[in-house]
Amino acid sequence: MFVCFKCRAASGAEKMIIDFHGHLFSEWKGVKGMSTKELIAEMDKNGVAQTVVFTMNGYWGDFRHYNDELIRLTNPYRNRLIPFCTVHPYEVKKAIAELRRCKIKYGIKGVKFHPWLQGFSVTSDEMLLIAEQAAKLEMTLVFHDGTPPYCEPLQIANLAGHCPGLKILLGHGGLKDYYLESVSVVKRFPNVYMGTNPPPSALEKVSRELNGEKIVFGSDVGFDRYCLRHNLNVIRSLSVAPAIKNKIFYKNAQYLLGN
Amino acid sequence: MKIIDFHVHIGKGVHRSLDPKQLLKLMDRHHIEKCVVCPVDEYIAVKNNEGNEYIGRLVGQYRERLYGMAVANPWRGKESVDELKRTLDKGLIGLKINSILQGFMLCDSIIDPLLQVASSRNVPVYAHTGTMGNALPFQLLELAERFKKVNFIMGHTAYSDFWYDVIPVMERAENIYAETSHVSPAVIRSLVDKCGVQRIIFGSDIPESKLDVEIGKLKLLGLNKKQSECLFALNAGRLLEQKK
Repeated sequence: MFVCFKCRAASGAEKMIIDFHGHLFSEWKGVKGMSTKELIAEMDKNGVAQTVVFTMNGYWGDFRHYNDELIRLTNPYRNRLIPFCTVHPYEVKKAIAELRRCKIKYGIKGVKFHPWLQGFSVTSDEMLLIAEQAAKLEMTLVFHDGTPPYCEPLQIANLAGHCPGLKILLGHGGLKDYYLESVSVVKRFPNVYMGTNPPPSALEKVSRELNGEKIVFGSDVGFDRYCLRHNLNVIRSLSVAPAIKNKIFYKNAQYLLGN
Repeated sequence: MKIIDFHVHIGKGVHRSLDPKQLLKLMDRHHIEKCVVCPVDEYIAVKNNEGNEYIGRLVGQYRERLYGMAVANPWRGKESVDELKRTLDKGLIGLKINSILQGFMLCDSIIDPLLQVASSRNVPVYAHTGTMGNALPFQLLELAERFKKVNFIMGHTAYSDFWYDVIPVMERAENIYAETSHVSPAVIRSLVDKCGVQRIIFGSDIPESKLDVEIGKLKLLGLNKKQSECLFALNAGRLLEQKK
């Protein structure tokens, strides 16, 4: 049975949806990204109130340039699109200056890292320095996670232990193969949250175990017109109470955003 | 539309459980005509004989709805070869391997004696793929090149992070099929566009995933009627028929 999104929305069970994982880019590896208008239209079609958006090209290009691009693209829609900047930890001085600029000048609330694409390990000394700075600036860190050798959840947990005041989101919740690490980490570290990409049955189980706490919906929207609907469908398919789904869909995200 | 689900785990395991009555109910609810079932967890890893016996009994009991895949851990050597022959004689239709649970490098020649049986009996081999280390698409390609007469199913189409290997591997080996569970719909779409639909087969991997999620994501792709029929049933049907 295919889930009917309109019926679900009409039931009133879902009060709001914040998508904590989107990408806004013009072109990446020959793939054309959604325009801002297309992304807003996709959100409207699927009942998503806000999306936290990240760069793609900024992971290895001039991160300051691509942070500016993201800020410029999202400025007209700041009630709908929440930009998170990125930096490369190996350029420590420049990265710390960029975090300060993004936070102080533009009010950016968080930083996205993709250690696999960026080619650095989350356990590197440079990353520890960046994490300390982010903690001082009260910026939330989001990581691509679930991919060895650079971004396994337990490696990211090392940062969480180093900076207990820093809010960290494991962007994919360990994906299919590392979700057990992810669950272990969010249970142990009060400052770590997880995304919604473990297999559905595992997500259902951990949602119940945690009563919906610390799990944050994210779809990876921005690349194609399938993934937002597909990932919403995953959450909607879970046999858990509406109160748990509401925590996953927006309440936990609001906490990470400082709302 | 007719649906064959090519990848279902059944039985009571340490991590995963699904009983036959639950499965039949789910199949009816989602209009699934037939499923290919294999054991769960420890029965894939170590208790192969118990797992195969259970699958054999179920297939006998629900002949019209279920096909069974055998499991055999290659570390058991001749014992695993005899186990596979015995279970194929009793009506199972292929071999399921999971190099993560069974503890070997997917391209290790330790699996060759089992693949020789698959080749001589003309049955398909389903391999879990996508987990870093020893269950990778290019490792599967090594097997496909060593055993050209065997049809291999690339389980989960290498989900999560090996999506970029999928198309090069599919392009190089006509005897590899992609199974759709877990992998993102965009990967399936690009596979259809670049390699065609003839070697893509629907699998749900329940109980780890959910049927409404797995069927739903494929319905988002905008496939035409013929493509949908191929993906949901006809391609799987060819593999199921090949043993005869």
